[in-house]
Amino acid sequence: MKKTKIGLILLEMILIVAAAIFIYPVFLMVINSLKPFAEVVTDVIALPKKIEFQNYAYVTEKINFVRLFFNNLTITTIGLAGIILFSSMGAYILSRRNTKFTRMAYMFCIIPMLIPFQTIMITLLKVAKTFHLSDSLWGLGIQYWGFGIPMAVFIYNGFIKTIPREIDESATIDGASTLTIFFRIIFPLLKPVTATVAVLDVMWIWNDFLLPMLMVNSRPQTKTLTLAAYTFVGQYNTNWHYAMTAMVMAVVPSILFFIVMQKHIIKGVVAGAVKG
Amino acid sequence: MKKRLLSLMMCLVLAGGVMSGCSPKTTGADAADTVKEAEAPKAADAEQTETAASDEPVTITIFQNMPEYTDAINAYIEEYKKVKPNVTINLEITQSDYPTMLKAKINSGEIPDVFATTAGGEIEAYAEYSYDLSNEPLAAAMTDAVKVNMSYDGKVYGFPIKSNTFGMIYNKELFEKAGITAPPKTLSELEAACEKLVAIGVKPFTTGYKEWWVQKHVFQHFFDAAQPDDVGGLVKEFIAGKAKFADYPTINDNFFKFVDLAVKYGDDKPLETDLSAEIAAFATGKAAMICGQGPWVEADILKINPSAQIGFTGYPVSENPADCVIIAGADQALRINKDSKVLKEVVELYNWLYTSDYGKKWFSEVAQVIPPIKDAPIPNLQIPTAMQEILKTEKAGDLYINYSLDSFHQKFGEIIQSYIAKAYTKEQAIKEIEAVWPQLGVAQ
Amino acid sequence: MQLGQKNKMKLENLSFVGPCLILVGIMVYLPFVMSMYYSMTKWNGIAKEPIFIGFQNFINLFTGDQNFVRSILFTAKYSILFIVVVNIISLLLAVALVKKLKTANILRAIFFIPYIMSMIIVGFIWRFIFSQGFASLQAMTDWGIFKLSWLGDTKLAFYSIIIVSIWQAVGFYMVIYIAGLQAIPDDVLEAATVDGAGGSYRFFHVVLPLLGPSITTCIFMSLTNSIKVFDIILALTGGGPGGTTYSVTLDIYREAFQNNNYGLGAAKSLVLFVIVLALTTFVLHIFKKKEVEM
Repeated sequence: MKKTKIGLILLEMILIVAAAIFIYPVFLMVINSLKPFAEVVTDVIALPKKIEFQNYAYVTEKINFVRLFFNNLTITTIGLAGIILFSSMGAYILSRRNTKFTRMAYMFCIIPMLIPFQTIMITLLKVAKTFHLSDSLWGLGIQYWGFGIPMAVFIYNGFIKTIPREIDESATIDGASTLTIFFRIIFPLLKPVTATVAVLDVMWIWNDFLLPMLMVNSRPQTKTLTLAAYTFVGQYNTNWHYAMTAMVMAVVPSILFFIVMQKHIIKGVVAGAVKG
Repeated sequence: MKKRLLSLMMCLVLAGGVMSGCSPKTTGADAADTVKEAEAPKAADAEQTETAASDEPVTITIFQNMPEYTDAINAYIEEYKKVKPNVTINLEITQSDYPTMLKAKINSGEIPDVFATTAGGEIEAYAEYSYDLSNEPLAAAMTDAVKVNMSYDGKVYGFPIKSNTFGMIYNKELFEKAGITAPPKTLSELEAACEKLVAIGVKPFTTGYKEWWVQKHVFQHFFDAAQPDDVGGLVKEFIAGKAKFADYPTINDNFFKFVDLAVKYGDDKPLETDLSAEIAAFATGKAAMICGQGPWVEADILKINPSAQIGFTGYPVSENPADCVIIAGADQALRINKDSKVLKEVVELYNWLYTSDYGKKWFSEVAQVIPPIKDAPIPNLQIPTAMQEILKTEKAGDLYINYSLDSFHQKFGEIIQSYIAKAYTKEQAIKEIEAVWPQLGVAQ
Repeated sequence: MQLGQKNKMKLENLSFVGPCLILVGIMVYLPFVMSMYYSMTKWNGIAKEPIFIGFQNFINLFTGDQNFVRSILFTAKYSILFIVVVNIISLLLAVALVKKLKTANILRAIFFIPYIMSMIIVGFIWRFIFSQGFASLQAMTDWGIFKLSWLGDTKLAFYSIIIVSIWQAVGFYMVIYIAGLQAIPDDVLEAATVDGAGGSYRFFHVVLPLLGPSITTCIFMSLTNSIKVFDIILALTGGGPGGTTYSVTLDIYREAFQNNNYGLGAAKSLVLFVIVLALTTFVLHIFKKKEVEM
């Protein structure tokens, strides 16, 4: 018994050291964002001589952080709302009714999971232009509907199958329309799986890079945080202190989101992964 | 040698003359315009402000690269507000993936009013989107060398915000300390200089070989020496697959000798040293010479070490000191979208930048760049001053990089990186360069 | 009445499923079909009209273009190594972190943090660490590993990309394995211990088989993610040094946007699709078979 206890303590020590090394790059990013340029160039690992936030003031103004934050929020909210609404409605019918149409439609919806984004990114630009979806936050959010639906339909479909049919059948007898049944009875039951879809899609849309780069990178008013960090590093290539600051600022909202939502995120990841 | 260069310059001047207008009449008129504008900018300003009130508000979208000049560009935008209060300018600057984004915009039909490309080959590739500036005052104000870089098929399709120069940058103090009296002009002198620097414990080179574009900047000096009379012609031969490296010893042997030398006497991790690492190593006095950079690094060097003594010279490319020249010209261009809804206002803006009193000062004082226009002062910086000094007695080399597209230059850089990494022998590298030049050198 | 009922059903089908079909159709299928067309043209992405050239791009792809074949090999090498290593490390971490440790929750969170950051930013952080941080660490410790050119050496650059990818993703797979381990009933483990099974025997013969579904999930996810690797390489090496670290996706990106060959890029992207399709069907087929056996 004692032996295992000592073993556990030893294991814990090893893990703590490993975790410290593991997270050290993030730590370096943070301390270098607090240093002036000369200190970053001369010694990266030294702690800042004194903590100053002037890099933050500079970058906040340069990339217009507040605006970018709300851009991200807008895109993510629009994208998420559409994905959840359309996928849950679609998956409800697709999993409840077994006809030729629903079987075909289901395949049509989930096959895109196999199409790599790079296969369509070149021509997507033309499509987006035709439908006036490029160069706007709304347009980008709407595009995420198309890309998010396949996985969401897949996850919802699997979950709805586990809900007993008797529930909607008894409601039908009471004379409720399909729409009412869905919104009053089924949708509330989908809460846990909706949380999964939400967590997965928020992390995806919030951090996405290539699609925003093709669609909304042209104007500072429509940039996202990741894009801003990317172009900022490109622009201020030589100024690592500002680059680090921009990256910290891009990462902090995600980390805060993680800390607040930790339990849901981990549950969501597991549920999504097991279902997916 | 000098004679050759002289004839080259003559050609350039002549070509410039031809390109600036079809008939001498137009050229004369343009020149007169310029003078008038320059003489009476205040009157013009007053006139414009008067009409401004009735002018409709317009918005000009500028989408360009070269973020190092963001502040300077914002300064002229600010100033232009005083001239034309009805004009709002949306400025978007980005460096990484600029070509990708520009193409994304063109394909989505949202072409900005002003966009940027490289000079030379891309002038042609984007000609169908560009407004022909040949008869505008700004074309007349350009220096002849710059005008050549901006032209295709006899028409001026772009204008730069700076003229550029390329050469080797060295630390004067370290050279003195090592007992090197004059910058090396031949490859053997260069090697001797490296030895002397090593003797005082200084790393001779910092190379920046992580950046693919460093290679094109260095290589052009060797290429210029291969056939100085007709650099563009020789590039065409390579693109046609007719020319061979083996016929030109400066690119076949000397260039690789130089790369070897720079690696041997250079950074511990040559392929990991990027622009910022290069600047840091040079500014802190760890390395004495910088490869593949130009005047754009001076400000950053001075930021780290305000008292840096920066020297500027051509690359030693052979055993003939006369081959060692600096290169001058414009390698980046701004273009005006010919279908712009605010075409008139855009052209007016850049005519103003090129010909007004403020504009003339803007280049040297605000942006601190070498002006692309005639009769404007050189900025008070070490590299441009050195360039001016050198060009008093020597001729500048031709801008080789303009004759091929960047898609080739990038591949070229990668091939040389493979050579440095010893994944390729010299022969393999040359073979692949000869093979990709026809594929990537020109727009297809 | 009957007919009306049927029509009503059809209308409902359309109104519930329609939005999904339209959105997926426009965003995915339409560009996909257009890609098929462009793959048969010569187009630089700048000129206004593409030129139709039939299957020439596909022929060039496998005869004239070494880059593409090289990038396929790179991606294959990367995927295999990534799948093996990330699964082993995350499984080990999971096994350690389901034990009753005081700091287990904090440690799990720490290992998960890189996964919530955008991959572009992860790439930049590590570029900074490799190029600037290692120089300072070398000055302090004088250890050989910091002296190596992690991003500049053609062989090491490959491993740097692997290391960074694993660093970013390990927390994700760890979480799935932890969930799998927690689902194993305690009495099964106890029974094995009572039977006198040693630690490693118990792990390989009792725990691992019970983890089957988690392993399936993790291998499948790491496969699909590693074939599409893009952001990390773009930020970390940009394909360098000497063009040795181009993945298929990065090669397509370069072909279309840097080399101005949209047509060829579209052709490459279709080949990528076929590869992904074949691999996924193959892997799913194997897993289905196994699950039946179980």
